[in-house]
Amino acid sequence: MRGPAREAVEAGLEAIRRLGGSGEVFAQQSRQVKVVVSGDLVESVQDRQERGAGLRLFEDGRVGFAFTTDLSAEGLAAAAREARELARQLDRDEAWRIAPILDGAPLPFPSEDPAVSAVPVSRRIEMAFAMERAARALDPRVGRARKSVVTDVVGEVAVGHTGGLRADHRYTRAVAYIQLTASENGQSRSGYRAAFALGPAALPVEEVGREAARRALERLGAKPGPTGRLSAVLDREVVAGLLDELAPAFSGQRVVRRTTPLAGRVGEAVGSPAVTILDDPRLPGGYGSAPSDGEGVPTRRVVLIESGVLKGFLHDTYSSAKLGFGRPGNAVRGSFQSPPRIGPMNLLLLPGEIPREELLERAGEGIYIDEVMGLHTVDATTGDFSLGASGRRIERGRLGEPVDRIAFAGNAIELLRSIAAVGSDLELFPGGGGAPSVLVQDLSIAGAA
Amino acid sequence: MIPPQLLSRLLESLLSRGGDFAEIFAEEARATSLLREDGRVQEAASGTDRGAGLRIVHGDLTYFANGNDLSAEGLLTLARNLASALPDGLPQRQPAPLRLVEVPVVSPVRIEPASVPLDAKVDLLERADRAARAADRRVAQVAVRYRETDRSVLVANSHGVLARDRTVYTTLACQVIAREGADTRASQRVAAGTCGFELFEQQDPDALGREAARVACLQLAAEPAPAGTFTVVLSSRAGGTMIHEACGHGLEADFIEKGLSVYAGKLGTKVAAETVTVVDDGTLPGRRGSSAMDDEGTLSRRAVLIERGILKGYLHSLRTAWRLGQEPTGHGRRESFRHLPIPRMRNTMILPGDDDPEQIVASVEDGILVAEMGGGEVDIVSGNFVFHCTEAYRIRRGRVAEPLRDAILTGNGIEVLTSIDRVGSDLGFQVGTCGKDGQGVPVSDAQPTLRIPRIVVGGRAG
Repeated sequence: MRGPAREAVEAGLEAIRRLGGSGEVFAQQSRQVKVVVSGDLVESVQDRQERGAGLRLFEDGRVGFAFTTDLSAEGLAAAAREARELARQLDRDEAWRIAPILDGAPLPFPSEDPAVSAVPVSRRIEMAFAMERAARALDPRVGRARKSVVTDVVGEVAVGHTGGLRADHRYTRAVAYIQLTASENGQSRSGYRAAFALGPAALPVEEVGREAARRALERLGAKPGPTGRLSAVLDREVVAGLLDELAPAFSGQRVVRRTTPLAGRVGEAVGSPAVTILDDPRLPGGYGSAPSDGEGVPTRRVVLIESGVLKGFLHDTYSSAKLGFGRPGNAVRGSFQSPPRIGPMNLLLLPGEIPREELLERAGEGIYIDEVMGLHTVDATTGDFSLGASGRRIERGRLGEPVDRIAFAGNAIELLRSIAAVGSDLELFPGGGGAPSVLVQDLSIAGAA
Repeated sequence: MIPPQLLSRLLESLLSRGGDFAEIFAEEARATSLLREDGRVQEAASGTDRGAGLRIVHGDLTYFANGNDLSAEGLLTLARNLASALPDGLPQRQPAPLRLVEVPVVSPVRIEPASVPLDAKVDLLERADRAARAADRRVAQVAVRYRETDRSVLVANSHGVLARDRTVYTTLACQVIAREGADTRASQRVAAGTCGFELFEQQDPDALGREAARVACLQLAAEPAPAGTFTVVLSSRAGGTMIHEACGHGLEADFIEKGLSVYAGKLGTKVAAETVTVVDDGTLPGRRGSSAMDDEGTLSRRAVLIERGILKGYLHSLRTAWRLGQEPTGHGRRESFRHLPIPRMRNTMILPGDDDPEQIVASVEDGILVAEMGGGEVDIVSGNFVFHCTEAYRIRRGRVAEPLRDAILTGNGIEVLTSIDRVGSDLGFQVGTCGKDGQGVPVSDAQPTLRIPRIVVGGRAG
C-alpha cells in the first residue's frame, strides 16, 4: 500500500531528477484529534490535519532546503527549484551528501494501534471527563482542571532520495494530560501529569488524574526553601527534563563545530560510574521509537555514556562524513518545514537498583526537587543551567514539608559526575526518552528561608 | 487567499447545523532563513506554509478543524465535516453579511525583504561573523542566522467581520562562543522587528557581532553568581522578561476566566507599587509583538493592565471577553492556522518613572545589577516565576563591580511588583518568542531601570 506521503516522495524525486540534480524528499501526512474538557464542560474538539514535504537538493557539495504544503507535481517542482536556487548561495562542503543505504529491519513491536481511527470522539471526551473526575474525587481541595486533554495522532512519514533510498512508516500515538489546581486557606498550587500509549484505549486516564491531584495537594502550604550546599534527590521527571536539555551535547554536528563540551573526550570518564546514557530508537513502548530516522537511515541503539565513560555521539550523514567516524541514523525532523537535525529518539538514563525511598534515606537531610522552571534556558554549548525549583525538604531520610521559590545553578555535565546513586524507578515520558530519580551530593541551592 | 463569496458560503455551511459563532482563519506565511557557522554559509531554507483553521462556537464548546487545502472543494468539505460534529436538532443560524474592516498599517515595510537579493542577506551574515571574530581573540565560534517571514492572514466570521492583515518579520541573530583554556561561554544578540530590510539601517550587523563577542568574552572572566537574597537593579537594557513572567502571563484572561491566576478577582485592587504602570501595546510601529489586528480580526490597541499599582484590565481574546463580559483587547493570537487563538501578550512594558537610572545603581550598597535577561518561566497558579540573567554584575558601594555568571532570579509576581521601590526614567526593549500551550508567538518586552529591594538569586557560589 502506498500512502500520500510515499506518493509525494516519488513526485518530489521526479521533480529533482528533472532539474538534473541529486536530492532527498521527506513527506508527512497526519491527522490529530484533540479533546479538551474543563470543569465538567467540553471546551474544544479539534481535528488537525497536516501534510507537507521538505526537499533537500544537493549540488557540488552544497545543499538547499525548501518546503511546501502543496504536494501537487507543480508544487513540488517549485520547491525543488527553490531549493536549488538556495543551494547556489552556499559555501561548498563535500560532506553534504545523500544518506548511505544501510541494512535495517522493521521494529520488532507495533508502532501503531490500528483501532485509533475507529474510536469515536465521544469516547475521548468520556476519558477526559473521567480523568478530571478521578482527580477531583481524590480530595475536595482539588478544583476544576485548567485542561483535561485526550489527544491522538495517526500519521505516515516517508523519505527517499535520488540514490535509491526509500523508507516509510506509519505510527499512532495517544497522550492524556491534565493541569489542575488544589486550594486551601487562600493559597493555590498547580499539578500536572501526562501519560502516553499507542492508542487512546490504553491511556490510564484515572491514574493520571489522581497523580496530578496528589502533586498539587503535596505543594499546598509550600514555604520558602533553604540556602546552602545540600544533598538532593531529583525526581525522575526533572532528570528526564535535564537529560533532554543535555541531548545537544551528544550531537555529532556540535562535535564538528566544536560547540559541545564533550567534543574530543571519547573514552574519558565524564560522569559518575552510576551513569549510563543511551539513545534507543528501538525501545519497545518508547514514544519516539521508529524504524528509520529523518534521513531514512535504519535506526539502532547508540550507547553514549557507559558507566560514566563517554562512548560516542549521535550522527547524521553530514556529521559522520565530516568527522570520518560514526554511523548516521540519528537525524530527527521536527516537521516537514525544517531540514533534519541530529537528536535522540528515546534518550534514556538507565535505571539502577535502588528504590526512590532508599535514595531519600541515603540523602538523610536535604532537598527533594520534583519541579523545575526555566529548563529552556539551559546553555547547550556549555551545559550551564540555572533553574527555579520546588519540592520537599528531606528530613531524617523522609519527605518533609513542601518548599518553593528555590533557585539553583550548575552544569549538566558536572551534574552527571555528582550523581551518587541512580534509582530503579525509570519512567518513559511523552515526547521520547525517560529517566529514573537520582541522588546528587552537594548541590548549591538558594531559597528565601 | 479566499474569495469573499466562498467565505460567505463557508460561514453558512459552518452554521448550517446550529452554533453561536463561526469563523474562518486563513494564513499564508513565506519564510526564508540562512545560517552561517564555522565561517561558512551552511544552511539555506525557505518555503510557504499555507492553510486554514475553521471554528464553530456552540455555548461553551468550540469545534475546530484545520487543513492545508485552500481549494473551494477542500474548504467546503472541511466546513461540512466540522458542522456535522454538532449535536442534532439545533436551529440553523444565518451569518451576518461580511463587511471589510479597515485595517490600518501599524508597521510599514520600506524595503521588502523578498526584493533584496540573496547575496545581500549572505553579506549580512558575513559582516556580523567577521566583526565578532575581529572583536576578541578568544572568540572560538560564531553562528549567525538570518530569517524573514512574510505572514498574511485573513479572518471572516459570522458577526460580519472580514479583515486582512500582513506582517513582515525580519530577524538577525548572532551567537558567539568564547573560549579560554578549558572555559567556554556563549552569548547571543538578536536584532528583530516587524519591518523589512530597513531594520539593518538602524541595527548594524557589525555592532551585533561585536556586542555578542563582548558579552561572551566578559562571561569568561565572570565570577559564579552568589546564592542568596539580594537587592537587585534591573537595567533598562536588560529587557522586560521580568514583567512578562511576573505579571504578563497572569493577566491573560484565559487564566483569569477559570480563576487560576493569582490576579483573578483582583481588578481595582493594588497588585504593584504605586510607581508601577504596566501596558501591553500591539500598535508600536516596528516592534516584534506589533500587528494591525490580532488573529481574530480585532484591531490592536494599547491595553492598560496596571495603572499606578492598581489592576485595571486583562488581555483578552474574543472568547474570554465574551465570557467575562469585557471588551476584546486584540490579544487573541495563534502560532498558525493549526491552532485556536488564545490570549497572548504583544509588546508588554512597565512605563518609565521619575528616578535617574544612574542614581538607582548608586543607591545600592551591596547587590546585583542585571544588564540583560534571558528566558524565564512562571507558574500562573502560585505566581512564582524565574528569569535567567545573561549579563549581570555585582554592585558594591554603589558602583558596578565584577561580572557574574549563571544567575537566576526567582520570586512571586505580586510580591516583587509591590516591592519595586525605584523606577527609572529610561526604557529598554528586548525581543523574544513566547511559548504557551505549545504555541510560540513573537513578542517584545520593555521596562525602565528598576530596583527590587529583596529577591532570591540562585548562583553556583554557595
